[in-house]
Amino acid sequence: MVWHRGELGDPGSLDPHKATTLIESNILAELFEGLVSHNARGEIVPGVATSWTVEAGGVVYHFQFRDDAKWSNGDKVVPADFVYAFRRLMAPETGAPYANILYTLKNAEKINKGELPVEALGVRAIGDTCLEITLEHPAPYFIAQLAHMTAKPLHERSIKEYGSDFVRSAHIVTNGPFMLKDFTPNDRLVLDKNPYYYDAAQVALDSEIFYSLEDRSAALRRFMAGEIQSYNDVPLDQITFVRSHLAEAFKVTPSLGSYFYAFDTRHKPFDDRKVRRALSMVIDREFLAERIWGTTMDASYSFVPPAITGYETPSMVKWKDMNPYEREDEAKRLLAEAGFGPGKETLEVEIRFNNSENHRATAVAVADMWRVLGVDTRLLATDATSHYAFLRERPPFDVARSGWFADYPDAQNFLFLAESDNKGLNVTSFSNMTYDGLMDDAQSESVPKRRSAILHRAEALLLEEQPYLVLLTYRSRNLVSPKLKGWEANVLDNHPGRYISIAP
Amino acid sequence: MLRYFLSRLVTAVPTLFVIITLAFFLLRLAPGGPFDSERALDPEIAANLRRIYRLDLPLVQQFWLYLQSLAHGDLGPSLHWRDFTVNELFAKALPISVKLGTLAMLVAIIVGTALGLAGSLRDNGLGAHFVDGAALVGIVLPVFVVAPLLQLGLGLSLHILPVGGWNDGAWQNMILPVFTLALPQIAVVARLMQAALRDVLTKPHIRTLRAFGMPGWFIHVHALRAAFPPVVSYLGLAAANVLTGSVIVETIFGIPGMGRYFVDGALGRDYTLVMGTVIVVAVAVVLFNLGVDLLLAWLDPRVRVESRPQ
Repeated sequence: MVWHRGELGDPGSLDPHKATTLIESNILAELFEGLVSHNARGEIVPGVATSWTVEAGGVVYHFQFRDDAKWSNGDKVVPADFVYAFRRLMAPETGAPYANILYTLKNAEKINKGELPVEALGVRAIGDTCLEITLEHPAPYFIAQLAHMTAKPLHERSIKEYGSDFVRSAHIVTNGPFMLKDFTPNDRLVLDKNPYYYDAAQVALDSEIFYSLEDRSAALRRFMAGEIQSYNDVPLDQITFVRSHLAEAFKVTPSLGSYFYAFDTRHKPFDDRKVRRALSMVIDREFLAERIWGTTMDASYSFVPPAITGYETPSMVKWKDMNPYEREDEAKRLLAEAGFGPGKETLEVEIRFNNSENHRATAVAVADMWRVLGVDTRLLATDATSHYAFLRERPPFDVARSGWFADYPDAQNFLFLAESDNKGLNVTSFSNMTYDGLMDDAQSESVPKRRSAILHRAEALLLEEQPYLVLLTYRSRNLVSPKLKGWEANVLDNHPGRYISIAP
Repeated sequence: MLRYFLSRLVTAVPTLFVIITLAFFLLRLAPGGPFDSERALDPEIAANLRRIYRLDLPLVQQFWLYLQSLAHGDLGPSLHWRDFTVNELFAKALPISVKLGTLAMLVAIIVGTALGLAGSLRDNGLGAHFVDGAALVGIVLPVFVVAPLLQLGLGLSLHILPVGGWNDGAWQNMILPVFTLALPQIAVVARLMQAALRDVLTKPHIRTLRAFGMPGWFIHVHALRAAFPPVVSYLGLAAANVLTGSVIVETIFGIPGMGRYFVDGALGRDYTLVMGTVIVVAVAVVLFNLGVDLLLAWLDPRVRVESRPQ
């Protein structure tokens, strides 16, 4: 039984400490199992750890290990494998791009910046059955973070023997339900069932083959021909055809991703929240979602997408239920107060975006919607790398397209994008002491309900201030053969092969 | 002939050096770097990565180090496919692209010549009109239209051939991409051959053959050698077209050749990968042109005489 999976590209690396993309995350989840993992519905379930306890006000965790967890060479998976992996992740010489995801571990950031030795990391093996992890501060999302690809264990002996070549199919030792058989870049990556996996008896697939299919239209044809049984995108210009001909196979699911425009709040006139709010109010998000994105996106009035367990309904902009005419009047009034409009200065805005058909169409539509306010809008498209380099360097700009997908399902993973000290990711340069204070309060709050309430207040404040003009919430788009059993839609768009079987 | 070959080869070396130098520095002028993606890296982590890949050194020093590696045949590590070196990537991809390109060129020459020959048998005959029409279609239809049409027709509707994939070079998987790549070249070769044959067939030595009562097919075959030089002159350009066309064909058919590296490397600022592809393409173009010149010299002794130092 073989699952032929189409993916949008190749993994850049199979080393969990060098990986950065969703494609890599999907493959690494098949190869390596962390202390916890995701089930078919994207929920956290025990992995190598069977259970855990939390002590010292939510800062110290003890993980009990299953005694039948093994590596693909038959070695036992022990807490020391995690200690080794976490220390390697934080060691500066590893150059792990996403080491900061686990800065929640005690001393992790200092180690990663070369200020402390790796031995200072808050991770300790207690014999062969228990792992102790100490955090910098309470983090209710920590267990979810442990399912991230950066938190996988590594087989120390094989890395010491083969160095960076440990990822080759001839050398790699993994502990997940599958093991690497072969990888030809640009062609296919073959995974075989791992006979040493503790739950191997329940794994129905013999193999999974990932195909790197960048051309969405060609992938659609291969799916229709039955050459692949799943693909995680569709060509948006053929969405009507897909909906009418492949309705049963086309799965559109809410996702934990936000599509937004970022204002440069450092400069006039975008340092004025009245201007930002006015520009936000007149945008017809439903039009963008339905007409531009073919209902493969949802209109968004919150910064945090819905469907985060424990956060429930996100805060919404206050003007959500106003009708379009009321919104327009209010927006004109706000702009006039800010010194723009009839008889006053004309507001000029330049929208920067990474070039793609839909980003362009979105920007054109937004520019058209702003016309009712008398705004003179220019569009500036560059290739993706140039666009992101621009956002990194951050010279003055007006408005730039951006977006965010959650690393772990928690509101904090969105709201931290507006923290003053988040120099790398806060592309708006928004700085608000009250907001920062609320985020700090949420960080030190260990009671989930109280923490959630604080985060809701922070989100409401963010929506009042509008440094980010949220437009849409992403939805995942999958083509899934009806023959594929056990595939379940979920907000993480996570589909482990462990739960999949294929009908004849 | 050997002297001619060697002199051409020696002049190619400075050309390659200039290409490599220009490519290296122009590439760095493009905004952004290999670690710029939707998710910005922590500045200190990004600096750490630049140090690991020695991208923090002055540009001239990086260039010198690159040249040193190149002298040892080392194209460096890929910055996107981080588990592989560029040499390793090319070792797998280049033979596939060469196989695909060679087959496409062979098909173009054989089918194009045959069509040109058929079209030249009678001026304004059915054959000539057919070749003209077919050639026009072949030239006008872009690869990105032909490929999906073939996939839809022969793959999806009739189930005769696979829609895509390489499948370790199985012949079924090669037919559609080879034909797609060859089609525009078939068209050009057919028209060139047809025109050249018509011209040759009016020459005095052909009239002499006719006067001796030789059969038509014999005369045409005899005229072929004289009609080949214009076609051969085009082959260098055809090979370059096949090379660039392979980017689209390999992407649409999901073939693990060099094509994807051209685009992905450039868009992702994978400096070493782009430099590797530039070098491979430059060497290929130099070799194609050299091969064409040698073939022309073999076919037409006048070329050898003209190229000889006076």
